[in-house]
Amino acid sequence: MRWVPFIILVYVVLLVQTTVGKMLTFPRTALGTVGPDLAAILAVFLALRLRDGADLAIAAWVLGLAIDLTTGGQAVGPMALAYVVAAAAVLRVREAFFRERIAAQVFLAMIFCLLAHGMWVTIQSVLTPSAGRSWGLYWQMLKQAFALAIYTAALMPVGHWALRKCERFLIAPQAGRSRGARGMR
Amino acid sequence: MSLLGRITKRRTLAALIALSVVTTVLGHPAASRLQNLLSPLLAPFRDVGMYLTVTMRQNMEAAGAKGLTLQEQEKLHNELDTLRGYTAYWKHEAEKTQEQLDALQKFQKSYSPVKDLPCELIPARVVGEASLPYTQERSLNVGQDGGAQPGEWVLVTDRSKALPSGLAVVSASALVGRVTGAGAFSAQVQLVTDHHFKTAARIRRIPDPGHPREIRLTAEGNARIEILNEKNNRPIDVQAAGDGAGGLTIADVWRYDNVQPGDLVVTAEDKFLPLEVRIGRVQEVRPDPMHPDRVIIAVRPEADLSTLRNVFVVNNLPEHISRSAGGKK
Repeated sequence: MRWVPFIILVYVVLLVQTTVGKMLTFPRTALGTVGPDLAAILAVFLALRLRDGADLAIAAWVLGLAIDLTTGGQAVGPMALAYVVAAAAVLRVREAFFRERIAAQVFLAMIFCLLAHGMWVTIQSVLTPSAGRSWGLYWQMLKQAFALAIYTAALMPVGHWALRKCERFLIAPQAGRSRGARGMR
Repeated sequence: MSLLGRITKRRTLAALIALSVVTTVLGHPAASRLQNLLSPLLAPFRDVGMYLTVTMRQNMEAAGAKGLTLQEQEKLHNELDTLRGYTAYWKHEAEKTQEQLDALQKFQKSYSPVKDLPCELIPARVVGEASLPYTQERSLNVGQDGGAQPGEWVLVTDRSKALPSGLAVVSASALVGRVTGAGAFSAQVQLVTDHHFKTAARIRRIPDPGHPREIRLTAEGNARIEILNEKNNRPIDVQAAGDGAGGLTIADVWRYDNVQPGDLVVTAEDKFLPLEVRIGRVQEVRPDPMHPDRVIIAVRPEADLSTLRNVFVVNNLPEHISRSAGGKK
């Protein structure tokens, strides 16, 4: 993993996600506001490409923290934890898929988003003061998370294609064939 | 050297996860501080990004508008010509009135105590949105150093500078949200449409002589039906809450109050905003399934929140300052 280019890319993703990326958001739907999680696309790409599990977990933590810091939730930290868990899950199952297949990218992005955002919504709801907490609101946010997962998964092939173009700047060449995940066990 | 040798990726990861757990447990105060630390790093580039986003959204809205037929265009041209005539007349009248008003104000300033809106309006610019769509928040380029404090209200107005003092300041304004966190150089605004936004509000019904509406009034234990008019049209005190989907909802409104689409929803005066500002307009009135004699009201925000760019933070001044300075513009 090349950490300096990675941090620059995280910064760019964050900028896009909080400004121009909002052009991709649908503000008024039956499920509430629905938009993609562009950082999740980068995390899934790394989960498909990185061989070292520890590198992946640290990268996922950084991405999750970046999202936490730019989202007005009840706490900073839940998304960092959720991204690490979701990245570990994708790392576990990735050997069962052909990662160049679009269907595999879409499916894994959806799994990642459902896990990460499901966890985030749950933790944030638990941390919300009881006056503002309700099952109705929790259910609505879960539905939003589901819509976000589908939307992000739909954008995953495009993101994967774009990130493949700059893969050599992000990931150092790795010798030998991949034999599954290392370092997370 | 031995210490560095002991720092492995796995230990680093364990430390980062432990840090996340700690910040999660610390909750909102710690989150707000950490978010404000990051804001200055993002702000310069976010401003450009936000400018592009707002411009593109405005252009898309304009492009998405339905085209007009030739007849409609001609009709609009005629109406425009008529309106131009009216504008010229009223401009002349306004100038005359302004001259009289200036003379009166000059007299009033000389002989009476100063009365003014005890608020300072701090101009600010929206420089970013929240990463995820669960919250309806915006980042402002003004923080505590610029005067923004948590709890203060944020308005948008159609005038960007040279605001006159008094109630006229907000006559063409709309409430956008409330400052929920402020660092040295940036502040977070919770929009009126956010899930967690709640505020005391008032519904102001707009009587239409062409379509009289019946309301039920209760006085001294007796209920009677009357036609809504200027005398019996009292504002209805309600609680408005964001619905998280671009609007607000108001529950627990009596069906007999006969609120209808198009009625105004305004702020109830509080210590941070001692005047009435528009929040939105009633869009839909539907029966409350749990309470047959009540209705649930859907409100559309007055301000276009998707293209929000220039706003004003309402900084309430202490009474002694507002008296001595006569309020700030």
